[in-house]
Amino acid sequence: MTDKATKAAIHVHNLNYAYPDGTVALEQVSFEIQKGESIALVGPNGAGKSTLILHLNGILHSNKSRGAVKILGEPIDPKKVHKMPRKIGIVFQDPDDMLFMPLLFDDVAFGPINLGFAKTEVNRRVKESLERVGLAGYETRVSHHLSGGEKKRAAIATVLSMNPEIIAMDEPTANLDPKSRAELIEILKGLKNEGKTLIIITHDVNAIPELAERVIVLNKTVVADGTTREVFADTEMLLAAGLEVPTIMQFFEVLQAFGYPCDVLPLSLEDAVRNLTQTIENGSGHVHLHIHKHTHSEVNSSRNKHQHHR
Amino acid sequence: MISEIDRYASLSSPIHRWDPRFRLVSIFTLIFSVVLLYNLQLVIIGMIFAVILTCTSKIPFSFVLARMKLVFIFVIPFFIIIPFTIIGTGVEIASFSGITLSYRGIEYVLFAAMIVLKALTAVMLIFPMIGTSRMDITIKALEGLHLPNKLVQMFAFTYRYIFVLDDEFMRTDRALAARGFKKRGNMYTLTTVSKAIAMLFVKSYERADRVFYAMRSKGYTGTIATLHEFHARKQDWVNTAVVIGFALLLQVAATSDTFIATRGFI
Amino acid sequence: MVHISDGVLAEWLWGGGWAVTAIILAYALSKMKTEDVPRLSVITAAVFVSSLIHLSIGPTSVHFILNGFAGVMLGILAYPCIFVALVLQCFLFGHGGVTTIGINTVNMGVPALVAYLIFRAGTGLDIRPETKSVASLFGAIAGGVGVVLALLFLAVELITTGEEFIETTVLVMSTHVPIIAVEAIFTGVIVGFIATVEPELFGKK
Repeated sequence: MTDKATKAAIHVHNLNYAYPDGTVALEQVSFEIQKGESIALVGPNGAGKSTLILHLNGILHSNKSRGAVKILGEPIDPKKVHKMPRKIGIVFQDPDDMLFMPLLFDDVAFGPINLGFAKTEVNRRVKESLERVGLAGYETRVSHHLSGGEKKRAAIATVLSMNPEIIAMDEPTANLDPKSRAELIEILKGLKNEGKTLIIITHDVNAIPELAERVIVLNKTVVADGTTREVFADTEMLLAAGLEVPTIMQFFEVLQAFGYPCDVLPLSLEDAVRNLTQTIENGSGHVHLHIHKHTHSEVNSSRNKHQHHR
Repeated sequence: MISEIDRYASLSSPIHRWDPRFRLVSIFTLIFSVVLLYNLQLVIIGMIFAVILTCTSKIPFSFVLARMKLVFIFVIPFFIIIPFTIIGTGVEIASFSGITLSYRGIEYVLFAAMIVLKALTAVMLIFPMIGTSRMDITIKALEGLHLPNKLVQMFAFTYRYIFVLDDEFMRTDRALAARGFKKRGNMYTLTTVSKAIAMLFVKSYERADRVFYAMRSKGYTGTIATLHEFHARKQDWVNTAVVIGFALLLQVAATSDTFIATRGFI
Repeated sequence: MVHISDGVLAEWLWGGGWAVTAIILAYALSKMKTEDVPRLSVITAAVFVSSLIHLSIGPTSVHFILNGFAGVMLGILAYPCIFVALVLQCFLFGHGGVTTIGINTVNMGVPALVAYLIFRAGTGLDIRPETKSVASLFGAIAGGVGVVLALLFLAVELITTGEEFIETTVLVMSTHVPIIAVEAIFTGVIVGFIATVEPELFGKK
């Protein structure tokens, strides 16, 4: 396993963490993420998701966490946090925490300057990073005048400029209007296609199928870890963890009750289009839906299955 | 809402083009020179120069005046009652309901006018000094002037987070108002506002931790390096010579007999 | 009105103010670790924003001064915070004066340090939800003392500058009496609140 090619991007083994007041935040957390993987980290509020990603570059650490986290094969040294940005970048939930300089240029240049790059290289990286998030020419803008969506994208640019191999993001799509959300998802897809290792904390279950092939459910400890489809199939577990499956899956379950033939429920809209096209082709141009004796009770039980307030 | 001193930083004028390091030092010196004056004529000359500098900077005068109104609120109360309360030995000019306005009172008004003019000049000069470049450039200029790095960083971060926290407090304020809270002069108001501010502080500490985490995640090791570089040109030196020269000239003139010092009026 | 404008005081007073401020500032900065900078800055911003809040009490409008509170929370590091806040207040709002930044920092900052010493002596900095009332009491005393001393400094400076300021000084002082009470109650409430919610903040500098 010492071969460079087989080294995991992130290796977490029995990570424990308690807040100074004694509240347990993380308990025996273990998982491994390979290079180029893109995973969604989900879990209810207070499940320790943000605390977990702050352990990935050594910002948070304790005696109990020593040696528990390895990034690209190397254990984290809390004294060398400033060397971590080359390997892993973290995008915080509130962009105002990341945009602390008066000018956007300085915020995006902050990382590369700290990493010791020459001026021309810093300038190049700032320009490129802003372009990648659709903020080309925003160098001289003042952070507090940006819109919520622009701030979120700017915060990502401040991490992209350091060109880390792994990027961890805390709720990148939260609090955004639909257009900004769509733009952000496109940016994340671009990073994924580029081969970056992504770990995305999100409550946005409808976005997960587009962004991640794997989901880790965290509730102080790892509750579930599997492909997106596997995790979304376990409705009971998701409900217990305060989560839900994508709306499109729920809808196709309802369609099944109306007689729609479907073995594998689509996770995303694209999936659904593919599924419908195939079904119609197989049915020589038609889809047959009907109501029989049990239809409504099936619809109700399907809907109840996903309800939080039963 | 916090008004921004650098609202007109993007204008183009000789003052805007002046290297901020030189500009800060020069106008700062001028402010000190004017405040050190003790004769009305020289203060007026200094004020005229301040008006010329402000006009040259093209910053709208209405913007400057709005700020100068504050000087009256802060300074005038010091003087407004004095001419009436001083029982002068001079000629009695007027008397209303037992309060006597004396000749010494009039003398005093002139003295007060001089002080008010000094305060106004100082406030006015802040605009060409600070208002002609973006605040971040001004803060970088402080670094260029070799102020302690920790202090410069504090200016930069404090300036940034004033706006964030102001928004945050405004939201708290609205949340209180939305639940029928109205500020009155009573104990309930005081304790409620106190608790709202207490919450702002607790949140600020949390915010501070997150900002520090974010900085460390971006490789921060304790010093902030920026790429901005200042290059002094000949014109910067000329401007500096003119303003500092004028500041010194005021001091030289103050020692001559032509201008009568009105240090105190007693 | 607690900020002194340019041109009011005798020059040896505001000059001396710069000298005292330079010394204390240099000492405080030497005690300050670079990793304290973001935290101190956010707290400074919070002090700045809170001091913009005006309450009408009777015919006058008062605003929080918070120097005692800053002292209680930050100790010696309150001094650079107050300095930065006053510089920004002067440049952003035209409060106070340029030449008087030094003396204004003395007037606010030295009482803040005294407030800290009182609070430390009274509570031993042992602050837990259980000791909330002691913390609150000494918080109130510290808050009150912060303003009383600031006013006292101001009064002495005005009267030293010229006898003609005596009446004004008396007037200014008397209008500020309610602020002493307001600030004491305020600091007491906020210290009690933090002692209950997040007592470990008192150790954080």
